[in-house]
Amino acid sequence: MLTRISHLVLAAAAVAGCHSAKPVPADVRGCWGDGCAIVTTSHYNPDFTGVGTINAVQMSLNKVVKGIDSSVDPDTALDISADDKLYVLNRGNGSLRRYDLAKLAVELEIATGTADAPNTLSFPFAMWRKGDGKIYVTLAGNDAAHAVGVLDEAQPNAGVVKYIEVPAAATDSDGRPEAAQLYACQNHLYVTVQDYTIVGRDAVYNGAGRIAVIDLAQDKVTGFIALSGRNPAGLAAEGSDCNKVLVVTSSKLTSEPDGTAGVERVDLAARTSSGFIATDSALAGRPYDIAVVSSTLAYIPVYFDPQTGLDGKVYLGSAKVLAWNPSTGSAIGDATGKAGSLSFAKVGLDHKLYVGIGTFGGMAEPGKLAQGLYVGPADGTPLPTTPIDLGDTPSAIAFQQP
Amino acid sequence: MFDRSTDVRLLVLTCATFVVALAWRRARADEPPAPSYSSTVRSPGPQTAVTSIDATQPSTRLVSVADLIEGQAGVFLRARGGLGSFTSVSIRGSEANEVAILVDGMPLSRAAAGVIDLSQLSLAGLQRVEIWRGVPPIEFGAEAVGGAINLVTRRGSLVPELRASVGAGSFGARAASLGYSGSDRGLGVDLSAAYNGAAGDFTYYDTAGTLFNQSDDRISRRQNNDFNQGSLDATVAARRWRLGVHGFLKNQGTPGVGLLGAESLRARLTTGRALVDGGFDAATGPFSWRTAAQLLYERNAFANPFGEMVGPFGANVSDADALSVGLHTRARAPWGPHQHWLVLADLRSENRWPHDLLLPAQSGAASQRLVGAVGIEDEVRLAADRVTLTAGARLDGTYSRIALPQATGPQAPSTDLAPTGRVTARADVTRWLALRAAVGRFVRFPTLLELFGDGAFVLPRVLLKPETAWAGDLGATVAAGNRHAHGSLEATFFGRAIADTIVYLPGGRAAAPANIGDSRMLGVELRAQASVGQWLTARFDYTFVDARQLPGGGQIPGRPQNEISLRADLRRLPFALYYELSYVDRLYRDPANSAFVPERVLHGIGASFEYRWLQAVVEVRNLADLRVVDLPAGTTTVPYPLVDYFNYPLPGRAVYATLVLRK
Repeated sequence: MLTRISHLVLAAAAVAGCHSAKPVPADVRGCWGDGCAIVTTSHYNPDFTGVGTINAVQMSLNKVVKGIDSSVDPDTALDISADDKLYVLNRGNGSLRRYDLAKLAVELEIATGTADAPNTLSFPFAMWRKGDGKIYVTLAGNDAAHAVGVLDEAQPNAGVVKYIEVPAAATDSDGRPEAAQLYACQNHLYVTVQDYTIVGRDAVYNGAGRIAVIDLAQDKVTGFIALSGRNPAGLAAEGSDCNKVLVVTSSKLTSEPDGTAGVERVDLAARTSSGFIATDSALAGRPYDIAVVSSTLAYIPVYFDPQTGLDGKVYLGSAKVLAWNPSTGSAIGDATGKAGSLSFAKVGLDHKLYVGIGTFGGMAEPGKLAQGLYVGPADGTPLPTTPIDLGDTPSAIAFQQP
Repeated sequence: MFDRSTDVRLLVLTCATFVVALAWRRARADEPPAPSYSSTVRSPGPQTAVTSIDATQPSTRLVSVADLIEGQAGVFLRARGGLGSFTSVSIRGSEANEVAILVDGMPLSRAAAGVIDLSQLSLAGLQRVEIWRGVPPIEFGAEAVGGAINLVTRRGSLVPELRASVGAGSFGARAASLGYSGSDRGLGVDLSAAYNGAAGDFTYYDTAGTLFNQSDDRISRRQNNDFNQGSLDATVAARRWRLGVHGFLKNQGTPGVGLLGAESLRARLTTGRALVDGGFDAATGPFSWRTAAQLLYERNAFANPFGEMVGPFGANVSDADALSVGLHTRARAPWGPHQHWLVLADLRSENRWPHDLLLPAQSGAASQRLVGAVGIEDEVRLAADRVTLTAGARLDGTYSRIALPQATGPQAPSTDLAPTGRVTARADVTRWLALRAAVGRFVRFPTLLELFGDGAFVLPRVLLKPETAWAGDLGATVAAGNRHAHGSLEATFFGRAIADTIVYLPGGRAAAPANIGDSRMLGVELRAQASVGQWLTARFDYTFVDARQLPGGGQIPGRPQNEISLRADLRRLPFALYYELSYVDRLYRDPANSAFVPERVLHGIGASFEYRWLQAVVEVRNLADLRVVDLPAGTTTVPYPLVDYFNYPLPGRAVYATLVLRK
């Protein structure tokens, strides 16, 4: 009897240990624990200045905290470390801030530039934390010599402590590679390179997309992976092998699908792409990110139905999230209805799909989803049509790690 | 920390001018000068809140209409920096394009740019500026959703006068003007030529884009913030007719918000306007009518060939021409001794031609609009003319079309038709108490720019609906005084409800006008004035505005809830002194009211000396040299530059000196 009880006690303790939550700090301003997500929202003025705000959402507790900090840029990228630090990349003004996740108080801020390449023009796009205090940041506003910057949390006043050159493509006439997303695997850092040139007020993509390979031991680009599509936008591991990724290319978003964009399977170690699994034509829209749930389910936000204005020019029309099967390369169905704009589609650690939706030109259009954060099970079924209202357009999201 | 040597030099120079004698002057009539600010509420006519401001006092500090009306009750200005910068006006919480701008009662067309930049409206050639805050007369048009600003041009004076002024000020401010006013055998002439300019190179606190890291903060100097503006005005008037020619040309830098490394050093904006207007009055017995015509040409040219961080994304060199022709007729007829009727008819044609000089093939299409209106108003005076009631109605219509590129085919025209009207009442209850009330319905039709875009920065929205609004106010004026002292207090409660509010919203890489729903404004204005003899006058203005988006929205961004303006003048000829204070409440920067520009208090002083034909004026703005404020950010506060709503830094202490000669 006693043995059975002790076994039960031990089993209970083991179960409790497996699901042990992080101790909740005394002064949590946002959220904490299971399902805690930080969401930034953005408000833009007609001249594209604006305000960004940090909010917190915790679906497990039905908790929403709005307007925690309104000092961030309207365009941000987010990350939360395992030791509960929130990193906010302010893309407009060019800085990286580290917050204490519980208090949401700024601990340090690092300018993403130096005198040679000012942070205010650098447009930092994405970040990757090495774990030793070094943070790699893609600087989409800089030239090739200053395309990727390394920040050091131990030297917040130094700005960028090291630049990594990403040679521009021969077809890219402005000499700027527009380094975008970052992905790390086996001591290498992979950088998607957009390679566009601004002609008039349009972005022109003249050549096939590339992924730059950075050897982290040397902090140097050691090669490129050529893609089938143009303008690589997002990538994610397809399974447990981090070298096997699915890469999304967008080509020119404000145009009809034409086979120059889609989803392709890439072997990073072999530095090869196997070509399109699904083209933009097959997806009936231009994809611009991917979130993989399993070998048979991924979510792909797409822009589609570009509209021709009265002046004969084409503008973005609508966006939606597709549920898509990586194994078959075919769409499962629409995870969301039509939206004016769509900032992100991410799968949280709580196995829920989070989609940030805005409106094109700030106005809800007939037949399109209202502005807000849409959350639902990441099982391929459509999301609920009632959003969480955060007061402004959701722009980025990050999840607290268990 | 900030450069004060220029201020010191200016003060020394100004003191020296007091002892310089330059020319002979005919003695002026010995009459007390009119106060600089006075309300016309107690004048016959206005049954709503209106402020009339003398525009004839030259000052290097007062470059434009924007500078003159700053701080007046109900008025809030939003500027992109210092002297001469783009300035839009909000009256009682309105949007800038809801305020009608008129010249001698005729509307100034918005065909060129959509929003009229008040910094372009020179004071040279103006007699006074009227701010109609409540329910303007139906003659002013149906579009005065937020109110109206009427620029009254000078007429030839009975006593010939030659006037000249020259001035200089901080940050390279400079001004010069020359004018003549006179009349002969019933023909009055007024001529003015003026120049204003500034380097605008003030220093400001630069966070370098990192709010929480002060290690890279610095004091930067504003660059590419200069402007030069020349204006010419001429008015010829006889008893029954008037002809005026008014024009200006302005070239200015567009510096952007000015963060270190992201300054706009070369982008420029050039604007010009030429206005020819005239009118003819006729009378037959008790009936009278007036016919006026207006020809207006404008050109806006923006050049940012290097794609600097100002304006829309990317390089652009573009301009737009606009031509407007208007014809207005008014007829008045009495109906007994205490009543008269007014009938009006307006017709105006607007044309706009945008050009993209970098990519001519992408130039927007030309557009055209015809605007017509008919209206009628009845005014009745009761109780021995102590009570005045007016009721008026207007019907306005627009016909707008765009000339599309041939490849895309013709586009059906856009038409709108809308009735508007107003009812007002005024009662002079006693010698010291007047009451007034007004309510009106207004319609603002989308401008050509809002309907058809410009091919680059503004997206077309042909289905845009007109804004409609109901506005009203209720007020009282108490005034009392004797030959030694006088005081008055005006209090006004106002409200405005707007449907289908049109605002510009960012869309892609351009701005898109949109009907965002309903909004409402409620508020209070208080104005107190006092004078003691000729030697002391004081004015206090307070405005409270609660402006909200409906349903259930927060405060509409860019409008302070509370605004206070205080001024006191001491005169003991030949000297005069003044002190002024301005308080502006926080400005929310987003509809969720999460971020705001902190409240600010600015002080100013001035002094003048008059000796016969000579007047010297010295003025100091931002006396306390406020340049850095504490901005709430997250859980703390951080140092931040003093900025206006658009996040453009504002200058610190500035000194201006002006020398005025009148013959």
